[in-house]
Amino acid sequence: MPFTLLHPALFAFGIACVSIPIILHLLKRKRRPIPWGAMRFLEQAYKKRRRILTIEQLILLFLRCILIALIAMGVGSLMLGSGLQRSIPTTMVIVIDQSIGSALIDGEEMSIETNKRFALQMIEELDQSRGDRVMLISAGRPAKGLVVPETADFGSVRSIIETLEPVDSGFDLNQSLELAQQMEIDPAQATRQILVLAATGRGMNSLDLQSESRARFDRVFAMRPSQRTVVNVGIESVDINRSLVTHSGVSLPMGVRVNLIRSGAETATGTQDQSEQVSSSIQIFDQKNKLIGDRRIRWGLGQTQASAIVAINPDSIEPIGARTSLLRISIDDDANQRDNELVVPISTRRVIRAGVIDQIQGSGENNNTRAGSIAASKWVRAALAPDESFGVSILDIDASRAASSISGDLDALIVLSPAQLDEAAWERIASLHESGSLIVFTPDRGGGSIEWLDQAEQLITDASTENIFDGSLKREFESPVALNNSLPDGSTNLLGALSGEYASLSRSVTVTQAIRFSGQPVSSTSDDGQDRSSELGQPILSLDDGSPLAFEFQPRTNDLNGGRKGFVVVFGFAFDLDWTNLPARAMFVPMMQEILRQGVGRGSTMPSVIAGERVPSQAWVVSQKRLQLDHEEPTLSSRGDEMTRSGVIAQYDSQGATRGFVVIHPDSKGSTTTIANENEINELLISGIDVESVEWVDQGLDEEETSQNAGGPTLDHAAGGVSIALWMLLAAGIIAILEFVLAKIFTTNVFADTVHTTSTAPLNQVKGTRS
Amino acid sequence: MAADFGSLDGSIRYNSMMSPTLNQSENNAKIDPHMYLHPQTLARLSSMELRAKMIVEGVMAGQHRSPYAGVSVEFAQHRQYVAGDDIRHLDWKVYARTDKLMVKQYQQETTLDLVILVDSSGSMKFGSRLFSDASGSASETAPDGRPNWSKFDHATATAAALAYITIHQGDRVGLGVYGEELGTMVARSARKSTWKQIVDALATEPIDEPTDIVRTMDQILAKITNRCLFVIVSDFFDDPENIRSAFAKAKHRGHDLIALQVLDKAETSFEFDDPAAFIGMEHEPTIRIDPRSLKKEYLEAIKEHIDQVSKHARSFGFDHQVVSTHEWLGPTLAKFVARRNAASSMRTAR
Repeated sequence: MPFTLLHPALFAFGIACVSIPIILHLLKRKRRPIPWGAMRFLEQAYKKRRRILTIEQLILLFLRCILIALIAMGVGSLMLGSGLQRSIPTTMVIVIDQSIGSALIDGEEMSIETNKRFALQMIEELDQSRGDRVMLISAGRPAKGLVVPETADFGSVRSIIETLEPVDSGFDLNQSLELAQQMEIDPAQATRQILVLAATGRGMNSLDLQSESRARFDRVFAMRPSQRTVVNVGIESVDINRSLVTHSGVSLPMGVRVNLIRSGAETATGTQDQSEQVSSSIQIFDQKNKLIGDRRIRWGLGQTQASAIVAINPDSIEPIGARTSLLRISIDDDANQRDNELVVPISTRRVIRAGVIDQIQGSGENNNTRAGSIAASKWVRAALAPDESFGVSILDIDASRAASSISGDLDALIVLSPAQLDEAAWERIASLHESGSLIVFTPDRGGGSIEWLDQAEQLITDASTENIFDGSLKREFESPVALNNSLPDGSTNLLGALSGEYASLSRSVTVTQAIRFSGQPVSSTSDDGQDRSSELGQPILSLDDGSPLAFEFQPRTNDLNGGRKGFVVVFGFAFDLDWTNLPARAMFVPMMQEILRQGVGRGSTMPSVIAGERVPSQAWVVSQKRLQLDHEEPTLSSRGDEMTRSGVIAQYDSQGATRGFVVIHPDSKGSTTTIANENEINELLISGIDVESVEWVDQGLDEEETSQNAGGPTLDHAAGGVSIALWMLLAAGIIAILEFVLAKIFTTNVFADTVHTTSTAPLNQVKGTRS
Repeated sequence: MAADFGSLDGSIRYNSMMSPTLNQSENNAKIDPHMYLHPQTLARLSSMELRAKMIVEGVMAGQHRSPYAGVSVEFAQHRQYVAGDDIRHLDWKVYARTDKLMVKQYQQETTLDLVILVDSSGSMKFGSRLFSDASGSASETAPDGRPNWSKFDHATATAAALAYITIHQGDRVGLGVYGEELGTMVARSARKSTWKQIVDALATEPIDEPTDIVRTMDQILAKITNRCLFVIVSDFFDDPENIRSAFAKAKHRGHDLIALQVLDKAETSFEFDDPAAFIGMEHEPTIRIDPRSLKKEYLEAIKEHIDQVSKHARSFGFDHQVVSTHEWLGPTLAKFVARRNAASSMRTAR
């Protein structure tokens, strides 16, 4: 117990007690004086012993003061053990685990119920009349101060605790401790700061506290971690190879890769736990709850991750609207239900609307095509929409009148004559691109200036330091150059679906002229080793000498939420036979199809985040609403709390139109059931909290077990308080004995004889008298 | 003028003829000398005789020894008759028994003047005994209202007793009360009324001054021409050198001296348990002490002083005795008288 300033009343009492000997000494001075005749002898004796008398009196006074002080402190220390601790106001910070892990059914009840019961139990230890306060923090990411700063309204805090439900985000201990330090501490008043961690402790051994300064608490209470082995399987992530589904006669096959994560099983050693979960079934439902695909995964002993691809017939997906559909991926029910289901959106189109901007033949200054040649737009139309069954609708746009012809509902815009565009047209293109549409650029087939690359660059990046196409120039090859026989590496390569057959498709393609892009080929990895593919794009085609021939870009939005605009693809050659024979080769159709479908599908793909992470939101977002499969939800009031639950958030612009979606996945890593022992949790906590050790409180699974097992240290336990009090009282006893002995010694009546004055005694019997 | 000093039962009746000076004071008329003489003391007074150790010349013939053998009133011893001796001094009883002619030799007794000097300094006010316990009349308080029996009261009683004995023996007695100097005096006289004068003078004497025994001795010796017996009744709380000097002056003038050192029991035992402030009675500074812590040193100091006074007295052949206020006078006076008679007999025998 720190002996900082004690309770003021006790301190004043102690001071008063210490002054008792001094007061008594002063009072004694007021006693009735004694007139004394033999003063000269008294003076003589006093002068002889004055110095010694002073020292003796000071010693006795000092001992008496110490005695009183020890008695006061001894009694006060006893009160510390049972009461003085109670006299110091307590500020209790309760960090309650509301994360996805709290949805785990651990034994008979959900962990959140155990956490809530523990928190309520600790609140019962508080005393309003003592000035106690409580602060409540929810540790589901992002950690949130439910009651900050601390309050004395325990009833309200209890009510809030009782309404808590698990969220889908992970356990955010870092932010929780940051919030916990927002206690309003009055430096003039002694208070105890106590941290209560209401969490079962599962998975805490994988956490890492990264606070700059350690939180300061006098005591830390935590629930004794559960050591029960519980197996849990959750969906970690879902990848879809085709994010765009067209409801047309031609449907490209769709594969949904489901990645699963399993915890708790690593502790199993062939016991019953192991046999309980050896396989997991994956089912995929459309938004009308129709099963459209399923698969079963078998788990090996100790295996913690697994994945499987579920084939989906796109025709089985019924769109709910013109552009969106939801797939619900589900696995078997287990101990934690919240990570057993994932909703993924896919773009659906009845028809992909693509605009093709080209110079109408016969007009324009740069109409250098040979008479009888096929216009690039025709090549594109032939590749994308040879008939209606392909599900692509082509809109031809005259480059000279592009600004007024570009429609806002186009999924893609293929610009074949960018040099002919005016400023207004570029603005329209930028707006379309902003909303996620695919923009494809090729040089004018008649050649001419390539300054349009500057405009294209502005779609990709706003950074003035980025000069992607600076110095690029048109080049004519002496002889046709073949394409590289393999696609460049890149995780977002729009032509990834063609990788298996690309070599054969590209064998016969040659290029006679092309724009040589400046600098080094933009690769997915820059010189400093950083993956720049998502920032500056990556080549999707290259010549056999390795020089890039076409790029794909998916620039980010300007806001800080990580949103993305639509894809931008820049070809270094026009779709004209004067430039390359590609349009006439078999590769052209699948290339254009993949660029269109992947570019449109992935460009309109909703960003997905893990619950608790920041949700990307563009400037045009005015309101958001959680998208439910079977009912409508109210408009979200904020962009915070609701993002801790998994699901799909629809984002609306000022016109009320749905402009985007955000998919929130549950934090499957947060639902781990890995057991953490007391030492591991203790080490974790003391690395971020300035406290000696954690005090564990047992919590049963039900009320009966709780009442039997609940115990351990409580707030009133004063370790060492009683022993200190006894030592003080013992010291006081020793001081009292010492004072008594010294007082006797100092005032001992050694000279017991008196001067004989009786007349019966002869004079010579008086001591010293000579006979 | 005869005064009946009382019978053996201690009652005293006063002669109506009192000293004119005393009649002038109303207080004097109220003071009962009996107040200072305990019945026990009174019972012994009549049987006591005060003999002077040395032979002094006197006015009246008394029963005192004289260094001159010859005509003496007290038989001293026999000697063989030789021709020419006065046949009036033949002891015929001896001749009848032994057929030898023996002549009586006598000690000449002369008149003894007793001068009682009583210390009236402030320290004499101290007393721890109840007045009612010590007083012969069982009076609750002293004439000035004090409830305690002070050393001065005891000195008054001692002086009264000595005066009584002296007058009873037909000797003259006088009184001198002193503090810084000689104050009230009662002229030497053998009249019975002198005794009450002495008591009245002492009973009304203010007690507050410091003491100067040397000066007092100078003053009294200037007034006395014949050899006397001085009895100094004091606590002798003075510088021992001063006391010695006073004794020397008396010795130089041929006087005899008895030092009666009156001390209170509290002063000689110092039985105090609680810390207290001790206030000096002769304007000394107050001392606040725990008396238990100084008892040893105090008793050593006072004992040493008493020893020094005694030593100084004996060095001049004087007598010294400590008299306690808690003891009645009888044993003190009897012991003293007996000792003096024994010493006187030894010295004058030839």
